[in-house]
Order: sequence, then structure tokens, then C-alpha cells
Amino acid sequence: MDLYANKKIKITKDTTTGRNILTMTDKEVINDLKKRNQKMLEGKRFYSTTKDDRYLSYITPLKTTTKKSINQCLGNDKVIIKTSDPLPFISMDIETMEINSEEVPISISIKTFNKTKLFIIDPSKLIGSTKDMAVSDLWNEFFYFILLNYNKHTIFVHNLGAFDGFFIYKALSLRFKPEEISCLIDHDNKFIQITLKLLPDAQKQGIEKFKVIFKDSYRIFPVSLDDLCKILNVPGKTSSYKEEYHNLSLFNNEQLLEEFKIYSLQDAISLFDCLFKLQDMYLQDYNVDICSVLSTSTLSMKIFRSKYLNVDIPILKRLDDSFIRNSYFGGATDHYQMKASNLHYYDVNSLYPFAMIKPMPYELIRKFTISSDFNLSDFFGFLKVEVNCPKDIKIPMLPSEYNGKTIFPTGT
Amino acid sequence: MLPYGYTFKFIEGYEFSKIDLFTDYVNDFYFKKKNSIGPERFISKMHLNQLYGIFGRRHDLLETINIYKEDLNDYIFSRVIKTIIPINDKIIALLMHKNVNDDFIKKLNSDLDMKLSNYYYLVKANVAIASAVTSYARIHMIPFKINGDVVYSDTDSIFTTKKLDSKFIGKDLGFMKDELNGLVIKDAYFLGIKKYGYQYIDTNNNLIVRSVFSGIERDSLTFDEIIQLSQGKTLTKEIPNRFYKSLKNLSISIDSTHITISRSLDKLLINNKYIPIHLEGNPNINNNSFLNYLKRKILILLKMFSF
Repeated sequence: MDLYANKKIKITKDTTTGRNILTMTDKEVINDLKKRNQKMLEGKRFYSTTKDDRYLSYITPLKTTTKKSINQCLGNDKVIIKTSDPLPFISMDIETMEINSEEVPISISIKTFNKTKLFIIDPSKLIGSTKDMAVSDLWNEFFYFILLNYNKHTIFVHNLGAFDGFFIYKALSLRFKPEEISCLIDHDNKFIQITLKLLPDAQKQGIEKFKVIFKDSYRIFPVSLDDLCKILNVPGKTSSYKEEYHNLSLFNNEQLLEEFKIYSLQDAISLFDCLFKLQDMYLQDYNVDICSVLSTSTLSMKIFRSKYLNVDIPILKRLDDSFIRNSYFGGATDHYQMKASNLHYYDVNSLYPFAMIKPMPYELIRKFTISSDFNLSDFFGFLKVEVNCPKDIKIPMLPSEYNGKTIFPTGT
Repeated sequence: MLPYGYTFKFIEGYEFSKIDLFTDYVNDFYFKKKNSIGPERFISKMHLNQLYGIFGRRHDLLETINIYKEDLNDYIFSRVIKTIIPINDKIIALLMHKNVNDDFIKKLNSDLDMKLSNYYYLVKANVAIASAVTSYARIHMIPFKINGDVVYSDTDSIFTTKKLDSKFIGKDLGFMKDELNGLVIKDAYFLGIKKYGYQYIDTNNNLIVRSVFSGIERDSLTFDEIIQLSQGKTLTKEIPNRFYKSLKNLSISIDSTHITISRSLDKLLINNKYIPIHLEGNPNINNNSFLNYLKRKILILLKMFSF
């Protein structure tokens, strides 16, 4: 029989692992948590491991697991790079409906290597006081299925960061021990990844450690799912979103509900197919698994480190980082004239990549204060300077931070 | 004496050795981008633009953890909490700053009588590299802008009254591309950073209006509206179905909303020319805004729980 700790929390034995998946009041849990809290509160310190005390550490080349082929051993030129096995992943999509001016998840669709599955809310419970219970049941169904079948999988969600993550994090928090959930968030409060790692249960022997990671495929491939399908030549949406899907009356219209179910599944299917294709491409071309990265940048970095980097790049100490960070501005954007006619509009081919092929700062040779004359011509590095820009200059070139904005001022 | 009348007083320096890090990476992906279509082109473009930024990553990070309500007090004094998110009547999620600069932690502890401990984590970054990349990029744009023919410029693009010499135009890295394939923009208004609109006649003799205005959809303004904005009018635009995300109660609502747009007034406009902002001893220099932000966060929390 299902127990209700309060109206919101339902305690259910998981039939597959025999563990409670809602264990809010367990003494054991509280003790675990206390222990972890203690650790967190004490703080953890990263100790520099470099022989060179100028730096914190290094960004090092990544060794790829390459295997010499028989051909190569026999003196043949042909090198076959053994690609690693693809990491298992599934795709997931949540559809929501507006109830009392709040978005409520009503369906969760998933696509795995060999299955598609749609979880849908019990509409009879959606109105009134049983709404939370209906949502809870939907998530319970989903998590049973995941716990049972998808240990060690990456679960990709397109737009986890700004949408689905909110629902997933809430659902996880209501179900699992606090220390079983961890989560990275960016400076815009977007979810980067959410990890569920079930702690081994002391009482239950022989239960495999369970771990899944929710990741945002949009962070890695930052285009809409429709566009991603087009680019990869993967069948996309067969039907488009209808306003009626967003309203409770959906459940009173059988035909519409059927359409909705197909629609909801389609997103998960398309996403899976796209990612499946991409995973293969990246493994073949770069020997990097898309399941092992968090974003386009981390994917780029992994490719760079495994295929192109052959030195150790220093990681600067915080003090030095702060000094140089004062010089880190983005692109120059400015307006000089309001109305104009007969204009030409140009842009530079790959401006940043063009900038990247120039000499880059590498070893920190020296730090120094400048008291007397200084010869700028042979210098490579970063300088703290007091700038004076004449007031009559029409197009100032040097940026400055002013009230949180980058401006190109005159003056000092 | 430096070009364009700038003068410098040198204060402090960090000297570096030089290295070529990215030429092979960039050339490989640029070649692919130029010579492919579909997924390969998409991937190449993405990796060309997304690598440098990771070197400029900030060291301070955000993390969330779930804790029991009764333990909140311990956290308030020991961690820099950004947001408190109630989960249910027993559990709350804390959004916290971690990996904060040690000097800031020391300063906060002494100024506010806190016992903050720092949680260290190695961020694989090198801001010198990121800063060099964006600096080179700005430097590359200077010669195009300095002669005064440019009326607006955003990062890698220019709107200019003068046709560029053909020697600057080409398909290779760093060369300019004519965005309109030789067509000339008839009229344009530049009303602020990322606030502009223009019209031109295309090869089929159609009048095309383009607009970029932060906050609203690209190309959604008529040219008449752009003119109105240039005259100082404020326009109201409906933004359909905007998401309202609340981290505080982990909820999302969707609603239509209105946004008012107008031209920027940050620069003085005299005879159709914008006058650069003039600073005398920029107060923002040496002013550690992040430290002050952290301080405010802590004080608000202490007040909220009436310590």
C-alpha cells in the first residue's frame, strides 16, 4: 500500500531495487547528510601539484586510446585509430500544460536505443487538490522505468538549462536523498547538468550502484531541434505544436490526444536520432564521445586537447588571473552616427579564429612594476596602464568598463 | 606618444613568451567549413567559434546542493549563498558560489564577521589566451573604423559610407565579406548598441527592411517605426509566450508580455554624430564589483534570517 507522509510526499517501495524512493524521514538519511554537511562546511582545498610554483596547474594534451593496426606494425602507412565504444544514452522530452497559470508537466517521452516510451499524466487527478499527486505519479512511473533499465546512461534533454531542468530537479529533490542529487548551474541560473547517484544501501547487498546524468544537448549543439534535424538530415517533427495541447481540454478530445501523443514522442525520437548520428561522427572523426562533455566549448576543448595540443598550457594563479582578467573584453561594438545613407555592410570571415592563429601568451616570464620609461615595442604580454584619450577623437578605440557596460570613452 | 593621440602611463606588467597553439586547429576546421555542407559545415563553424571562450572561463562557480532546513544556519555563516529554493517542508536547495577568490573570502570574513570557508576546484582555463584572442580581434577592426567612414560596428562587422578596397575582400580568414553582395543600403538608422535598422533594394527590385533591436525579434520593425524611434518616440511591442522561470520555486509560467523600446541616450547626439562618453578618472577601475555583490548577498541573507 502506498503511504503518504504528507499530501505532497508519497512513499513507495521500488519493486525493482526494494529501496524506498521517497525517504524523507529516514534517520539514516539524516546521518548521511550530517556527515556530508560537515565535509562541505569544512571546505575542500585544491593543492597545486605543479613542480613550477608560478602556476596552479596545466591544461595537458589528452592521450587518445590509439591502437596500432596490424598494417602499421608490418610497416604499412595506414593507421587505424581504434574508436572507443559509444557511451549509452537516451533522449527525453517533457510536455507541459498551463494549470492555474503555472506550467505543469503532463507527459514525459523517452527514446532509447531500442525503445520509445511515453508517460502521460492521469488527467482525472489534474484538477484540484490531487494535482501534485498526479504530477508525482507521472514522475514515479518515469523514475521506475529509468532505475530499472538505464543505469550509467546519459539522459539528453534539449533545453535542460532553461526549461526541463526546473521540472527534473524538483522531481528528483522530492524523491531522492539530498546527497544523491548534485547539480551544476551557470551564472545565468541555467542548469548545466543534474546527476542522480544512488548511494549504496548498507542493508541491501548486491545492488549495483546506480547513476544517471541529465545533460543539455542544446548546450552542446546550440540550435533548435528542428534546425538540428534539418542539418543532419534526420526526419524531424511530423506535426507542429498546437495551442490546444497547452490546455486541459486536450484530455476531452480523443483525436487531439492521439495527435498529442505522437507529437510528444516525436521530439524524443528526433533528438535521439540526431544525437546518435552526432555521437558516431564525433567518435569517428575525433574519438570524443558527446556523452562525456557539457557544452560546445568543452567539446571543442576536448577535440583540441586530444588532436592538436602538444604542450602543457599553464593555468594561472587566481591573483594573476584577476590581473589579466581586467583586460578581457568582448568584441568592440559602437555607434558613431544616427542617420546614414548609401552604406556598405561588411563582415570579417571568422574574426575570432583569425585572431587565434596569432601568437598566444604561454609562459609567464616576469611580473614587474614600471617606474621609469618603458619600451613597448619588444614587449609581449599584459600591461596595466593609465590611458588618456583626447576628447576630440571621433572613434575611440580602447574599451573601458563603466557601470557594468563596456564603453569606448575619451578621457582618463 | 601612441597612435591617434592616446597617451599611456605604464604602471605594471606581466610579460609572456609566445606560442602558436591554434593554427592547425583553426586551419583544419576553416578548411572543412569552406569545403563542406550540412553537418560537417555546422560542426566546423561551431568549433571554430567556441574554443577560445572556454579559456576565459571564470574561476568562481555555482553549485546547488539540497540540505535539511534545520542545517541552514550552518550554511549561512560558512558559504556564500546565492539563492534559497524551498523544495518541501523539510528540504531546501541552496544555490551557492564556490571557488571564490581567497582574498575575497578573507575580506568578507573580516568585514562581516563571517566564518566562510572556501571550496576549491580547479578550473581548466587561461584568461590570458582568451583575452589575447578578443584583443587581436578588436585590433584587427581598428584600421577599418579609424578613418571615420564607419557609422556602426559590431564585433566583426562594419556599416560604412565608403566602399572597401578590393584588397580587403576575400574568402580567406580575416578578410572582409560584403554581406549584401555589392548592394548598397539606401537608408539606415543607428540608435544604440544592437539597435538599428536599414533598408535596401534587392536584385529583384524589392525593398527589404532589416532591423536589429535588443529585446525583440530580428527584422520585426517597419522602417517607419525605426524612423519614429530615431525621433525619440517609445514603441510598445508584444512579446508572445515568454517563459517566466522562477528558480525560487522551481516553476515556469508562460505569458505574453509587452516591452517598450526606444533609442539609447547614453551618448550625446550632435548634428547626427554621436559624441563619445567622456570619463575623468573612471570610478569603475579598481572597484571590485563582484566582491561588493557577494557582500550584498550575505547581508541580505543575514537580515532575512535576522542575525
